[in-house]
Amino acid sequence: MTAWSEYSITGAEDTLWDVIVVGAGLGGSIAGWSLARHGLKVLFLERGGATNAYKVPPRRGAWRRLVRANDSPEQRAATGLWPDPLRIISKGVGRDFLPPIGFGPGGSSAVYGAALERLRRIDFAPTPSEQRGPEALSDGWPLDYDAFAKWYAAAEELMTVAGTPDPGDSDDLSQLRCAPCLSARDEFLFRAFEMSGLQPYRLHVGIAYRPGCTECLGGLCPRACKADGASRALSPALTRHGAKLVLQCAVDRLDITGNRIAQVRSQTRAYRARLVVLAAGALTSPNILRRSVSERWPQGIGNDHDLVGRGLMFHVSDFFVLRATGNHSPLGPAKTLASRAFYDVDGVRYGSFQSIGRRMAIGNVYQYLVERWQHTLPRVIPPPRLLLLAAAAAGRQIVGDAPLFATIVEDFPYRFNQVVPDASAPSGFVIRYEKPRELEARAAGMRSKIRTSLSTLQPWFLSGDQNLNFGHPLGTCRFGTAAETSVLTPDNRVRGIDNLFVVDGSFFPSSGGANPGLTIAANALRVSDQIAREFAAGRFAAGNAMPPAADQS
Amino acid sequence: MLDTSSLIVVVTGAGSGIGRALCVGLTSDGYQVVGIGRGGDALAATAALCHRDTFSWRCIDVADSNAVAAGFAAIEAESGPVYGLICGAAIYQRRYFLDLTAEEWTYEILVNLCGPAYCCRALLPGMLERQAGRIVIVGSLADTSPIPASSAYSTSKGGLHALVRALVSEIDRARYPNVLINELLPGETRTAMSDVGHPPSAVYPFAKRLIEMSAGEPTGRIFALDREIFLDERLKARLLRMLFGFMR
Repeated sequence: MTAWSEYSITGAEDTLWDVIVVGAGLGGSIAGWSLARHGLKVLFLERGGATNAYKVPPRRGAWRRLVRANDSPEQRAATGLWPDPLRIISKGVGRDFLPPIGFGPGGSSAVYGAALERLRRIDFAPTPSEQRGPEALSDGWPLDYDAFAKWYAAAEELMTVAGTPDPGDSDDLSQLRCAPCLSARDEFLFRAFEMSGLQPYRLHVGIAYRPGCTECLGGLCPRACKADGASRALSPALTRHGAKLVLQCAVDRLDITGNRIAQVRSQTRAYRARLVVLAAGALTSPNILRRSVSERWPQGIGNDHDLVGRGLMFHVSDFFVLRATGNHSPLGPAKTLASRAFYDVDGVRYGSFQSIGRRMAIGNVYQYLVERWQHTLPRVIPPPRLLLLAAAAAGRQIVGDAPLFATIVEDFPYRFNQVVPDASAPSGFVIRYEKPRELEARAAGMRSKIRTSLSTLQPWFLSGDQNLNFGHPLGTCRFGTAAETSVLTPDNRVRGIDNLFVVDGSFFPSSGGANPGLTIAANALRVSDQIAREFAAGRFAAGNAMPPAADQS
Repeated sequence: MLDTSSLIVVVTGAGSGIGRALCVGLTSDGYQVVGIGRGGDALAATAALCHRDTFSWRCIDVADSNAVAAGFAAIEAESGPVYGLICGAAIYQRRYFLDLTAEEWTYEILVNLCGPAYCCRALLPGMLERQAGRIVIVGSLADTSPIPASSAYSTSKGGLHALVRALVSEIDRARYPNVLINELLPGETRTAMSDVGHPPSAVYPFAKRLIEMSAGEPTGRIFALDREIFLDERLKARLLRMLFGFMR
């Protein structure tokens, strides 16, 4: 693993950079890597600090760790997790929670990630309005699947994706490596899925499966075995292509001169670049734009139509376990099975489901129970921690090593679902989100479809209601062809600004029924290719973009 | 009961002492044994003591990392996947530190400490992939209060304790419960290294026990024949262990 602080520099304010990348998550890392390979002088500004992937085996104090409510913000940040609570306001009621979002080099892809699935052809076309409801924003993509497919292939190559093609999708020409053999139990489940007509396939995962691999899901991978933004893009950009990094640099705003970004501000520091790539994540990028006000942009950059921050989408991800009858060994890869049989049933978008690849630990169940207690009962009644711990242990015993699955149900974009800057909230912004009725209906439909088709495996849903996946925030700076309905041009350039591009999850005009990682990666490659060509054409002055350098040294 | 007839066990240091005795014992229990040593004559002598069909040997100097990598790959290509590895090869020069050249000192470390590491490096990937493997490292407590003329020996044996625990720390127990790495302390044994102690064959039952442990049993631990040794254990941990011995 790269020692990030070794590459973190000071005095970056004194240089005029070709490109500043705000946020070294998946999209930013890949865009920066791609541009650095073209010989451009790239600076990454990352809000998180150096992360540490090496877990010390919990020998002492395991008990205390289990019952302690949460790690400190510093501890969460050091292990790559978003440190502060997020505030979500729903039906007028606010609550703070710790989100499953990454922080620091690689962003969410370094902590979670690994599932790198393509969207389907239908996701690129506008959803007919009778399916998405009248209130939802129009969600067509300004380019079609065929135009995007080559970037998917390039991203799959970069992220060393393993798996098998989806048998139900003739467009799935994914560039896949071989995944290791299934465990006996997953083999059994695979056949059971097949017999139920679910058309299962091996989930597309960016894992190199080095000897002794544990898939590191839910934590940083110390061996560069998991393909994430840090291991596959940021690290080679710094070590081989001369890019630089500033850690613990939270960008506040962008200063505009005419139709160009002149500098990037972080507290008292100002960084200058010919071009800025914004990739702070779908929850943060729109806030940076909205805080960047000027006479021309009183509501923030690119916000002429009050769209920046709006159209926020999360998937619904319900968790369930299956019972594998018989005594099959579960030893083997864990992030294995996926099905898209319900992706589009008679025009209704239910989505997909897939292996989580994590064992259910007592600690997880306990945290879940404490959270449920706090949300369903008045605040004044403190959760009976010991009792809940016993309940968690009992639940863990009943479920045993049962395989965990999660659904991914598409969320449609609505104007009223948004992220708004708010200095009083612990993370500096609030999420305003109302769960649309039609989403609840589709999520419930997905549940009943799984219950019916897999009845022999006794699916048992663990999450109480339609569980929003806060790890998949999308759509807050939509790209599109019409200025009234999109913040970004089809090139992902912020409308009205010559040298500002957005390459994180905020560009999605629709969320699709799959993990967004691969699409973010592919789009970052697509946009950076466009940027490099514009540099080569002299558009940003003193451009010296060259054909990309070979990555292998 | 484990079917031993198809299981391959590699024993280093098979040309003499404990290694030879383990080869004899394992072959008589039906294992396919591949003996590793530096000298062909000594290995041939071991072969003469073993069951002929189930013992084969190969000349590899464990101090040579390239030879170990190539030799172990050839063994797996010829005989099939290796289930067990017993690292028995060691040398003990019994000379004062100031009488050894730097090269002589280093060679002892290479054989005793790097040798087992090279062997593990060669075999562990396959064991993890197949979800099955046992590694037994023959060790010693020579490091705890070294005697004169044992500087390289005691240094290397101390390193082995750390090696075993370090390897285990990198292997997820829940995911790979059937890959076990333990250290076996034979104690004083009458070999070329010592004139006193029990005969080498007395060590075999305890090595066999570690090879035949089932999935989920101890790993990363140190066994002095039949009892377990706890190095640098704190008093509190020791009391807890004595109270709840079964919980460990």
